[in-house]
Parts: sequence; C-alpha cells; structure tokens
Amino acid sequence: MAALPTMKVVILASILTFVFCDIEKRNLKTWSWPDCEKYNETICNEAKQNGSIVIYVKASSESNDNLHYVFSTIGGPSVVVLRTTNVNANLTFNWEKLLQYNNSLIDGAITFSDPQPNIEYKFAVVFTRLLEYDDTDDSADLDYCEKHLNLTSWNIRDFSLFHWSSDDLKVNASTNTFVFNTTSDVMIKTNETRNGSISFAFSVKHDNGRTSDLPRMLYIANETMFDFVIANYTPSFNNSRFALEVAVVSLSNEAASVDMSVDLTKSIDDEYTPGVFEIIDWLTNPKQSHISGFFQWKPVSYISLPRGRNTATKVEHSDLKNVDKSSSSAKLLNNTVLLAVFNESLWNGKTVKRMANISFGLPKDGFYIKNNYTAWTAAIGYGTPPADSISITVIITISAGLGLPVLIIIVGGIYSFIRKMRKRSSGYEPINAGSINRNYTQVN
Amino acid sequence: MASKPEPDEKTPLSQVVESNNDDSEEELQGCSGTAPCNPKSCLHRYFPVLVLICFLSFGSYFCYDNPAALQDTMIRELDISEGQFMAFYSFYSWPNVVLCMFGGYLIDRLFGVRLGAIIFGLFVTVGQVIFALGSLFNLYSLMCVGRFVFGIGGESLAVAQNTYAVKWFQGKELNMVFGLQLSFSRVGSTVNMNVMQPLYNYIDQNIHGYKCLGIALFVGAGMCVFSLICAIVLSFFDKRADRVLKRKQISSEEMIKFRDILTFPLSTWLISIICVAYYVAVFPFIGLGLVFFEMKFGLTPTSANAVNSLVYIVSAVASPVFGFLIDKIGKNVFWVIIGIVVTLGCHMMLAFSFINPYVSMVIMGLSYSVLASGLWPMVSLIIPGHQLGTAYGIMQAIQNLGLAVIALVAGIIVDQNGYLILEVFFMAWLCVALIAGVLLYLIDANKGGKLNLSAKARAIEKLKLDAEKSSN
Repeated sequence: MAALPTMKVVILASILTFVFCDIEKRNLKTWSWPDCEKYNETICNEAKQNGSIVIYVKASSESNDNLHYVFSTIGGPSVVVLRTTNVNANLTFNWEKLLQYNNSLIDGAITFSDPQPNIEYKFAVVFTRLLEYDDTDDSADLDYCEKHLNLTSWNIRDFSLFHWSSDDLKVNASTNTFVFNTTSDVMIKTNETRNGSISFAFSVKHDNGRTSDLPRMLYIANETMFDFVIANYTPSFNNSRFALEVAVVSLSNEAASVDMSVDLTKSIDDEYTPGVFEIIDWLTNPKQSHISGFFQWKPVSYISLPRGRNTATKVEHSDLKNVDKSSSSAKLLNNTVLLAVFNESLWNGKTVKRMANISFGLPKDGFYIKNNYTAWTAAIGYGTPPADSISITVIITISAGLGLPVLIIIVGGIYSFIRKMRKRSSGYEPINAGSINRNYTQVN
Repeated sequence: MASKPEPDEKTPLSQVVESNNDDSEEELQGCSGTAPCNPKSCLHRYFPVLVLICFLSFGSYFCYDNPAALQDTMIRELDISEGQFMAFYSFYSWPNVVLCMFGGYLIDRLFGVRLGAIIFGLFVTVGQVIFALGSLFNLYSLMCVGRFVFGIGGESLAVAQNTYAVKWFQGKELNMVFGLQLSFSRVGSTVNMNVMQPLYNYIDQNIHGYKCLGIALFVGAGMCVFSLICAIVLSFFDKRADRVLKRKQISSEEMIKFRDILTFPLSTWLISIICVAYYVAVFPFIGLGLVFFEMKFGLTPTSANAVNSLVYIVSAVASPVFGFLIDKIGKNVFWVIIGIVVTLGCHMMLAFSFINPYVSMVIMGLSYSVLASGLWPMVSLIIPGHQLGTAYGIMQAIQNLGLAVIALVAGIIVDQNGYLILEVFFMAWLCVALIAGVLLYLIDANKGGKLNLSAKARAIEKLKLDAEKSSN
C-alpha cells in the first residue's frame, strides 16, 4: 500500500478506551418488499421475479433514537443506514419509481412518512463490482496486478448485471437474517452444470455480543453483520483471485464534509480470531462518532468450511478513492437505492463518496480454485465501531503461566540463599569451638 | 577408559607412549603409523572418526523430512489427504516414544555401540527402501510400514551416535562434538529440503506419477546406505582403537540391568525435564510459526518461511562454535540456564511486541545452540559409560513423547485460543525448564558442583583423579 492508513497500536498496557454511550438494545422489525402490496399485483410480482429485493429493517429504541436499514439488490447489493431521533416514523417505498432503477429515475422513491423525522445522519455501502483477475505471479496484490496484468487477465462484472434470487432470500423475522443470493449465468459459463453462487447473508443486530463463528467479531446493537461467500464457482482463470469494489457514501446535515479514513488497529491479542492480529475500521467521519458510520472487518477470509486457522487467507484493501459524478462508477451508484434515499444531494459537495477494493487471498494459498470457496465477514453500523479488549481469561492465563514459575524461582532462590548463609555461619562454628577449646587447655 | 593420563593437544605423543608401561604395545605399521590412522593421535579423533560420527545419522535426517520436501507432490501423486500425509510423521514419532529407550538399553546390554549402530543403520535403510517401494507400487499402507521401520532405526541410531561421541570425546571436545552433530542433522534436512523437489522434477521428465516419487525416494535410501557404510567403517576403527588403546572392556557384572534406571541420580531426571520442557517450547512453535509471522508481522510467505527456518540455520552454524567455547569455559549448567532465559525473552518479544521477528528468531537460534551443546554432554558427566546408551535413550524417549504430545496440544490451543495464549503456553514450559535448571544448579552445587565446573577446574579434577588411579 502506498500510504498506510493511520495505525494505532494497542499494547498490553492500554486497556480499551472505547466509550460506550450508544444504545445497547434495540427492537427490530423487518419487512420484505415493504409497501409493495399497496401497488397492483403486477408491480409486486415483477419486483420479485426480476430479483429487485428490498428489505427494510427498523431498529428502534425507547427514546425514538432509531436506525433505519434499507437492504436492496436494486442496481447491486447495497445497505443504506439512516438515523432519526425525534419522532417514530417509518420509511415508505414507491415501487413504481423503484422499478425504474435502470434509468436513474429512482430518486425520491424512498422517503419518510409524516410526521417527518429529523434525519441526523445517513450513510450507505454499495457493492458495485466483482473483480476477478488472473494472478499469474501469485502476488495476491491488487495494486501490483492493476499495473502488470493486461486486460485479458481481468474479468470485471457489474453487480447490477446479476440476477438475485427472491426464492433464496430466507427472511427470518425472529433472527433478523436474510440472504441475497445469485446463481446468475453472468458468473457461470454456459456449458457449466456446477451450481455456483455468490451471496451476501445479512444479520441485523439488536444487542451486544460476539458471534460464535470465526472470525468471532464483537458486535453492537447499532450494526449489521454480513457474510460474503463465493461458492462452487468455476473461475475464469487457473490463478483466479477475487476482489470486491465497494463504495461508501456519507451525508450529515450537521457538519461540513469530513474525509473518510481507514484505520488499522493492531493488537498482540488474537484470542478471538486465532492468527488475526488486526481489525480494520472504515470510518465515514473519524472525528465525530455521532455523525459517523463504520464498515468494519478483520483482514481474514476463509477458503473452505469449516472455518479455521488452516482455511484462513488474507484480506487486503486498497486506498480510498473519490467517486466523481462523471466517473463510470457514478452511473453504478445512480442505479441503486442510494439515489432513492439521497436524491439529488447524492452528488452535491456535502456528500462524501469514497471507493475502495477489498481483495481476498495470500500468495501460495492455492488461489480460489483450490477449494472453490471464499467467505468473508464484515459489519456495517452507525457510531463507534466495537473494539476487542484483552479478556480476563487471557490476563489470568498470562499471570498464572508466567507468574507462578517466577514466584517459585524467587521463593526457591531466597530459600536456598538463606540455607547457604546458615550453612556458612554454622561452618565457622567448629573453628571457633576448636580455638576456644584450645584456649581452655591453655588456661588449664 | 584407559588408565593412563589422557593425551591432550599439548602433550607430545611420545610421552604418552612412554608413560604406558604395558610392554605388549602393538606395533602400528604402514599407514597405521601416520597420524590420521593412529588411534593414539588426536588427529585420528577428528579424521576419520568425527567425520564418520557426523555422517552416521546423515541418511536418517535426510530421509526423515523427505515427505515434507515433497509434500504437495506426495499428496497429489499418491492421492492422499493431508491427514494421511501427516501420518507419515506419526508412524515415525509415536512408536519412538517408547522404542528408543529400548534402543539405548540394547546398545548397553546386548549389541554394544558398534553392532548397535550397524543394526539401527540397517533398520533405517530397510525402512526407507520399504517406504520407496510403497510409493513405487502406490501402496499407502506399505509406505506407513516403511516409516515405522525407519523410525525404529532412526531414533535409536541417534542414541548410538551420542554414545559414540562420548566414547571418543569425553573429557576432550565433547560439547563441540555434540554441537557439530546438531549442525549435521540440520545440514541433512536442509540438503533434503533443497534437493528432493528438483530431483523429483528431473526424474519426472522420463517417469511420471507415483513411480517417479518412488525412484526419488530410492535416492534417499542411497543416503541411508552411505550412512550404513559409515557405521561399518566406524565400527572397524572403534574396534581397532579398543585394541590399540586397550580400552577397558565392560565386565558382565558391570553390565546395566533395567532396574539400574531407578538408580540414576536426580540430576539425570532434571536434565531430562529441561530437555523436554525446552524442546517443546521451540519445535512445536516452529511448526506453527508460518501463519504467525505472516499474520502478526505482515511478512510475505517467502520471508515468513525464511524467518521460520532461522532457528535451524543459525543453530547449524552456531552450535559447534558454542560447543567449542563451552569446552574451553566449562560451566555447563550456567550456559543451559542462560539458554533457557534468553529463549524465554525471545518468546516474550514475539508474544508481546511487534519487534521484527528476524531479531527474536536469530537470538532464539543462538540460545538454542548454547543450550543444546551444553545440555547433552552433561549426561556423560553423571552417568557411567556402560549406562550411557540407556540414559541417552531415555532422554530421547522423553523428548519424543513431549514433542509428540505438545505438538498436538499446541495445534489445539492455537485453533481455539490463538497465538497469544499459545506463546504463553510455551513460556510456561520454558519456566518449567528454568525451574529444573535452577534446581539442577542447586543440587549440583550441593554435591560439589561437578556439572558446573569451569574447564580449568575440570582439567585439574581429572588430573587428580588420574593421579589417584595411577598411585593405586
């Protein structure tokens, strides 16, 4: 990487400093194709058949400090997060407009019902493209490959071209999970019978905790975790590696636009994710967490199931790039639900839009083809991202494992020193005794 | 040992001959009269004897890591799983948790070191041939049998090698010789790592698949034959030296009995504890080091691999040097404790800091060399010659057991709790080694500090002892 992101080194001594004043518990309500039934059946059916999925999750709190998540496949997998404070309002969805996404006519399709709440902050994460490249040098370095590989070594697909299956959605209202899955022939060669797939499995959180699956990330009530999986897909090249192109868009009414940053926090402690010593936070506003979103991940992906240290490989990210209105990426954003939420303000100066590539793989890991599988876990949320701290168990283990033997040595050392001293003093006695005796004989 | 003052480099040879009152002195003729062939000459000790001792285990170290050098090829050509591949190592190590103890005992009791070395060398060769045949006919189970037979020979051969070293070098350059043995074992596996894959690729031009693999493994068997030849030649020289130097024969009353093990002094067991507790904190760590260096320190796989093999490379160069120095300085227990403490420091650096791992691994390689060349010769200072094979066998067995068990446990710990806890686990083992080291020092000091004498004091002690003997 050319410019290293700000690097915070957490050492043993610095026990966690994250202030947790955020909401710790939220009530979730999930709608799939929200408001769609209000339109005529053809529109609803069309949305379901062409894979235009919209999931609306409202994460509310008693104080009306609410988070509104919009997950959609329209124009590519995207997540929009809005924070409202004053009144308990819901989002409304205009499906006539939403289905016009191809023509960038989608603006204003998602709005709040009356009474209009105060939108404190909004931000969005969009997966725009899937990059596949023939890493003939086994560098697993996207920057290097961009410079050294010619066009025929690339297979770049717009996520908007994929058909997302409504049948595989598996919305579970009790666990607040659902899956965007595609088995589209954009990915699969025509003569291929393999049932390969690409999926984003989302899990909206309502409280604090830690997932039991690797990478066992800490989560908070302000976030949504997701697994990105490329499974059983026959790659275009023998040395194929994959990368995701991601755009993050942020808008706060309160402050002037602040540049985003990608923070890499190092730790000596890998107790939760064996072999992973870093966590990465892409912050939309590094200075003011109450008007900031975060996109958090550990730089690890898994190349087969079950997830384990042996099946882990690396995740790298590129530097952030600005997204210009005139760029080709801009068109991709215009076709997503982002435009429906941000409207014309998407391209004004107050809205910060950044883009980066997230690539999977490490040299000598055998490329994607080794197991035909790649899975990556990340989280998107509002406010201060969760941060790991060294657990009590580890502190106890360290103090027991190292302290006890040191104690034994010290005690043993003192004991043997005292014994030695005693021996030495008792060693003099016979000499004294002898000389006294001699004196006595002289006297006698 | 001979009942005359041992010649050292400074005593002229003639003097030694003069002081020997035995009139049945054998006349050495022809080449035998020249220094390299004369068992009384110190040159003879180095060449050919030391060279032969060093090459004794070369074949077995070369072949031990054949599977690792050809890992991907083997898994592909034999169509076996990673687990089946790892079994090649399990079939070697698990039986040896017990067997090399008997190997050492058999050397003392039944074979003697000469026949012992040849027999175990044969086992190594036959085992490797079976392994190669198994590959040639693509019989996985036969290959496992081969590894098992190979293992029976390999570990006991190492015991024989140690016994030989003590027999020829006790009271002389023993620490250096142990250091040199260590570097030869490293050279053996390094040569293997660099040679086997190119060799396979070369053979692959004409013969393909598992047959090619089998032929490549037969080349390994060739190395074993070479070591076997060394064993035979060495037995000739050793026998000749026994005759010329009139080395004392062990009488049948003196012959070790199995219950003699129980009478081994406490120091022997402390040395064994240090041995196992120290080695399990170094080798299982190296086994798991790659990912650690890649992920924690951000090294590329190539440099992570380089860092990981640093301990081997550094120790190959440094251990004869440190052995030589310890020969000159003495104070073995002190050096062993230093080795443990420094290694502990290296593990702390790796666990609790982001300091470049090149630094800690080089230092770990150095401290390992100090420990290894100081630790093993201590046994020969406590245990009488006719029990040495058994003592080394036991030490090796305990070490094998420790390595086998801890490698498994370490794998589980790192998967469950990560590298930080794993490092703490290794540090705890080093603390155990440290406690044993300090105890050894105290116990030894109580008994007059035989183990921790300086080289000077040791020489004086020896002269006194010899003077007493001759006055008797």
